Amino acid sequence: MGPARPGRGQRLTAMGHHLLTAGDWILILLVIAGALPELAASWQFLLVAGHFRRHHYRDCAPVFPRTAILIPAWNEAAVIGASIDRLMLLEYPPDSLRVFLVDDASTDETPAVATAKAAQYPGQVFHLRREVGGEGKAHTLNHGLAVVLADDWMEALLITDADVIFEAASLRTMTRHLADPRVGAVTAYIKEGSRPGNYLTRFIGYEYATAQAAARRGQNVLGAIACLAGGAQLHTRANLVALGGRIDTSSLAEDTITTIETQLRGRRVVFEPHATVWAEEPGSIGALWKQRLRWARGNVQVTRRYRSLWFRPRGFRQPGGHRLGGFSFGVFWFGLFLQPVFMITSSAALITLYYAHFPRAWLAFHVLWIINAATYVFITSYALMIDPPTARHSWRQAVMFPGAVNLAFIAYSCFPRLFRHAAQAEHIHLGWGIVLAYAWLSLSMAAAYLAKVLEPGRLGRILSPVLVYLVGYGSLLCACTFASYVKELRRAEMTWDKTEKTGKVVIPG
Amino acid sequence: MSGPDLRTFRREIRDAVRYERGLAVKALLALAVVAVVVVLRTLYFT
Repeated sequence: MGPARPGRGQRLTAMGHHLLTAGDWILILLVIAGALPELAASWQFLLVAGHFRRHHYRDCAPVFPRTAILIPAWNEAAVIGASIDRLMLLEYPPDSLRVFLVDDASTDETPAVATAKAAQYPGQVFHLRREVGGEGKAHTLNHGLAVVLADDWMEALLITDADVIFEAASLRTMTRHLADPRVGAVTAYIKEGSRPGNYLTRFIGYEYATAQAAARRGQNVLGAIACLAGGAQLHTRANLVALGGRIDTSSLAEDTITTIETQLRGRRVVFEPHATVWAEEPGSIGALWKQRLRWARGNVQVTRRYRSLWFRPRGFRQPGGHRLGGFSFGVFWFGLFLQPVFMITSSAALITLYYAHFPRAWLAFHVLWIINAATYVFITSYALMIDPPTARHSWRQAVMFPGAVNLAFIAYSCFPRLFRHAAQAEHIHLGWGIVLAYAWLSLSMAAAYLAKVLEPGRLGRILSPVLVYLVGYGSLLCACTFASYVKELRRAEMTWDKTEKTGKVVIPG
Repeated sequence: MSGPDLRTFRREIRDAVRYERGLAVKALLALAVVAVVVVLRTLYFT
């Protein structure tokens, strides 16, 4: 005789218990999903290790196409003269190099500087003037593009910014990739060059080591590049003609759209990590916020525009195919794009678990931060090794990138016994302290926003850097991304907020 | 200044590939650092 069948009430209780357990596990997974952006970044970094095998150097040759350099400029008198002088020092045949400065109706001394440089370098520097400007960089570039495409002298076009300083060998290290007719565009490694700079420019310097020197090498290995750097993108004439001879003006992400359209038309985009150029980046949170909000809004627009592209691999094995629809590329893209969503979801799931089943909340919190610790150690140590000069300049900012609070969580998750008093929290109920810790991933973005709000005030000069070190530069970028969602949802006006340049760039050494 | 000769070009390409090969070794070093942290955590701090 078998065991007695449980009654209806018991079955319902058991079912309820299973549902609660399943709900707990879903919440635990949502908490751990907070580490997905870091895991995606780690995967991208791991790909860097394969760059010595999957690179484009085998198809390179020392070629020197007739290259036009296009510089859009609006009120850039402080920097444009030095930039043109450096371009004239490029290790490149002088008769194959022309500089076109497109003056976007500047109201400062830019026209005078441009005219003087045109006179100083006759036949090599040309001043193009837009009498009505202010429509943004893409419109300014299109004015210049129309001129350089009007005759057949130009074989390659380098788009740069007025403040960008090129190392002497940078252009020829880029053009060597154009020996391969499959290549449509090449981009260089833009490094932050403000000297002496401040804490923020050092954060940006380290960020560029991760986002360019590392991430774009990984994208080279993958065969899909997310974005040509706006300050150093070299195109073949054929590529520009295929793009319609103009830059997209309908979004705030014209560089990314150019990059994606190039690859969709079957041309390769290559990142050349050994072509180094230097740029002046924002030295205040306010200026950084404007710049990154523009970039992040551009990414929202790109994500929407190419919605039929993501995670749909097709045709990359065929001639003229591309890898933009690949799984890894999609994970890289959405890992960054949705990072604030992952952070908020993770916090919300942790707090729900805290009230539903405290021990499981604690377990999920530990797992999340142990994963974060591993990815932090890997990404930071590898990024510093990838670019040793930047490591020497910005190692403190590299260590502090996640912020002091997150570092405390990392240290505690890895080595709880070092924090004996805190370790006891595993067994006692600390109330609001625990809730704040669980909500921190979301709160850190709000605190980063506070750093931006406080900055213009008298106390802000001291408080804002302290806040950034406390909450993390990464959280500041996530707050920008979150703000971009809001701006796009509200269909806010697309304005081109130019980053002010003051001519602080110095090529180290 | 004109561009480099073929010998310079080949040397630069060789140097670039060598640098990239070095990055593969550095990736192993970075993973080793992570492994040390994980082992320490497992052995002494659980």
